[in-house]
Amino acid sequence: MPLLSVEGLSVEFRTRDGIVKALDRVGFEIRRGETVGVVGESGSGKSVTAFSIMRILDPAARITGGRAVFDGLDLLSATEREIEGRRGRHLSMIFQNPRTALNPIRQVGRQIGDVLLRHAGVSRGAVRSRAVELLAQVQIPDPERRYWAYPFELSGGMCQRVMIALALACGPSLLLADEPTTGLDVTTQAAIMDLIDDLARARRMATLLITHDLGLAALHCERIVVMHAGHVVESAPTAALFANPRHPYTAKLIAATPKPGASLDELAAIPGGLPDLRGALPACRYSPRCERYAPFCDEPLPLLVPASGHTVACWKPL
Amino acid sequence: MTAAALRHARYVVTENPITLVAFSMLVTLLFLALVGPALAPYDPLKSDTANTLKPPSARHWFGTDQLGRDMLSRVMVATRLDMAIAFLAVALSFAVGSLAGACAGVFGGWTERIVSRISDTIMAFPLFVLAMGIVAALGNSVFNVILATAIINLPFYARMARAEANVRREAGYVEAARLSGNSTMRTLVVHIYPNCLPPMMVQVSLNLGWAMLNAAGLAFIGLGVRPPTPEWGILVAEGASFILSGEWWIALFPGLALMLAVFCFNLMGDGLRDLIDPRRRT
Amino acid sequence: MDTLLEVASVSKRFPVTVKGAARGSEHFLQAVDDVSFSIGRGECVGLVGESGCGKSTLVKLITRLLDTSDGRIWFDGQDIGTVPADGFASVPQRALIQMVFQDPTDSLNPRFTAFDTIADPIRRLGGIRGSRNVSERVLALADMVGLPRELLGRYPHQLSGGQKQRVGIARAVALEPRLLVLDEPTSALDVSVQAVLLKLLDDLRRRLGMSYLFVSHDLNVVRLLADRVLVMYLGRIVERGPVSLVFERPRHPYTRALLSCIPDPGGGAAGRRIRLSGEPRSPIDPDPKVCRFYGRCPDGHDRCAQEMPLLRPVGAEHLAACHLA
Repeated sequence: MPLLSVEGLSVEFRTRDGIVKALDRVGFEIRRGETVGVVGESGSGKSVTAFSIMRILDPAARITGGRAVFDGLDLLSATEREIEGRRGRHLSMIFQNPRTALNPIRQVGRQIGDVLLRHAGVSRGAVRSRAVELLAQVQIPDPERRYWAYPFELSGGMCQRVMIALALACGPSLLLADEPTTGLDVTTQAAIMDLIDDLARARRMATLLITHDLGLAALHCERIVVMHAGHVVESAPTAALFANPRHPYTAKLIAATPKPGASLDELAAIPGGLPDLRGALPACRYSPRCERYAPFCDEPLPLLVPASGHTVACWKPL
Repeated sequence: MTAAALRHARYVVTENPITLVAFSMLVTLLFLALVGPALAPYDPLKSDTANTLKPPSARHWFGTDQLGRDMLSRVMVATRLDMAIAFLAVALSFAVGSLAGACAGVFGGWTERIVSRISDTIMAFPLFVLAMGIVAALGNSVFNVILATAIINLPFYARMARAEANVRREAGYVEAARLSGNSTMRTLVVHIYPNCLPPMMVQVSLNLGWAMLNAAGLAFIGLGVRPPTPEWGILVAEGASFILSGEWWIALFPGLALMLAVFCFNLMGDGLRDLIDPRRRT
Repeated sequence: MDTLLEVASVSKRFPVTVKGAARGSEHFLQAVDDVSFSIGRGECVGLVGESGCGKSTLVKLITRLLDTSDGRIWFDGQDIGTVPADGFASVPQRALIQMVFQDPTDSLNPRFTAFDTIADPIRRLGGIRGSRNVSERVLALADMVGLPRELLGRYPHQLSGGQKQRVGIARAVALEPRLLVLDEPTSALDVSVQAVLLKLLDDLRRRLGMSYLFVSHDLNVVRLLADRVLVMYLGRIVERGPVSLVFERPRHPYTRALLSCIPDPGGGAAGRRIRLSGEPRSPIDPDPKVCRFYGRCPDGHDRCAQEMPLLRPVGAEHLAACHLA
């Protein structure tokens, strides 16, 4: 029984230029303790997916279909009250820019305290020591003193650790990590990802890692879901995905990522750009850019069933 | 280019109903300012002792005052003076204040110290009292009212421009401008300063209302513009003494006109900023 | 190799106020400390390092947006360090040293169309008169960088990240500079766009005969374009040499740690990952006798805290600043 099962998730945004069909029938699942990566470029819809699951979408957004069943409850159709009961406690999220995700005028220790008071039912007296404990768990040196620090006094890496402490305060069973290390140095990135891995393993926590960095996903995820323009195009265990990518976009993405040993000529560019998500879209949103396009590619693609094997949304896979 | 600008202007005005209302009111006011004197049914200065203190009627829509002058004509003609004072004062204040502030923000050092000290000095006084002082010292004239109003509004623009320029000083495109061979002064004028403008547009609009109230206030207490020149403040002052005896229309209509004008400027703020900011262009 | 840029013992200090310090005491943040290197004609030199290593400051010193505290900078045989940064805009060398910025959004004036942005350097320093001639040059540049001509009338907020960056590149090469500094030009872009722009940059370098100083935190990207690489840590150069040597046989512990942290998109773990403990030392009033990496370094001897290691040869044209290398 998967911990989270997303099926047929479709989301639209109303903008002054028309309706943007940001997500179209997105589906995947995560089991307890598993780390799944959602990989895609900007505009692929990976962040929107996470925001939909957490129900923190922009007011201009509308979920037009699908289910996201988390531990028996469909998050998409649940009431605000039911969501609040889950959010922060069983299901939590960390964001891309740690400094802007933290309240700039409140000490970090107090922010952790707020979460503990609200969701973990910790008594007022015990809050400070619990918060300091959490700061130590995320390997912030001198946690007693750093309790009183403001976000601007901390480096990017430290702010991200604070955010992790905030997210893990109530021991959630699922962590959504939206580009947690973008903008951080490589060494800091490695340290933060190791921290997340260690904590996840110790608490048997599932992690949904959203990133545009294929290499990062390769290193930390057991399975990878590849998204393009609001569609899930491929889903497979990591090793299988890299050894044998079946969707042309996945193959191109792998080929476009610089890697040791490859030369500049071998670096493949992906022609064209993201389709305009307003207006009429072809059944396969990658087809305008695909060199393998054939007329039958215009047939509507089947709903990608969330499964543990290697699935691909393509009429002419590699 | 201009066709696109006009299209953008039309879009901004029609997108938000409030902007549309404000814009229509502004157009009406400008129209009255320009042609008011020609359209006024009666000569605003001509007294008619047979018809004093008459309430609003078909012949005199706004009634007549204590000298028998038609209130409607007086209110209409006053529009020009009030609008002129407001616009000129704000224009002067804006031009000098924002440039000084931008220079202070970019150059720092002594420029910033001098501009800041002058701003602080001005702000140390209750602004209306300062305006009173300036007009009293320099003499009662329209120009001095404009000058006084401009001076007391300088600090707002200077501060805002300084903050905006300070932030943009570090922007990538400013460095790129220097790499392209722009001197520091040119970078300030061509690259930094125009980008500081959009946030100040809302301030300009609010300021117009304020400047108008300021001028009216000064006239109300007898400084600056003197009767018999029609000006809303003076009209309200003259009408004030008649309210208790029941002739409410002499003070009400100019007061209403003043209120509507200030209201219109306040609503215009957002619309103006959208007009100037290229990011709002689609 | 014919030297285009020569940097000798360059340093930059910023005065700072330190909380709780004695009154009247002066404190300095040592952003760049005793840096020396050279760039040859037509060469691409990579500069890697993490945040706080001083690469941004070094870039500003080289492009003369900032004045040095110590040291000399020679460009094409001329000492350009003596001209103050404020006055550099009117010097002939201004056109010859240009830069491509990291953030495509921040580096374009929001009120200028793409055309105006590219035309600015041409109008200021290009020596081209007449709007028709300027137009021609701008159109030629747009073609050269693969920017569709119809996008020239657009404002930055109407362009995608990749398109904005092309505008930035066109602006930078408009004056046919000899040295182009690229400050993380593709790190804000998607992988697919990055691939295209990297090829474009490589192509432009050969076509226009420019030298590059390519700053990046992404070592895989540096590996693709650079001939030689400099590794910086806390204001000092800790290792430098040909790209292949430095990447395959890194001799400085920091370079080793950096390389081990790069995720490998091939799917395999990139060897044993070296975890660095703690935070970098403070760059304020650093002790000139202690190695900057001491404390975080997985290796470390007493000598490292008594004598600052200097760059010394460890291979063919390969230098490292470590007592244990």
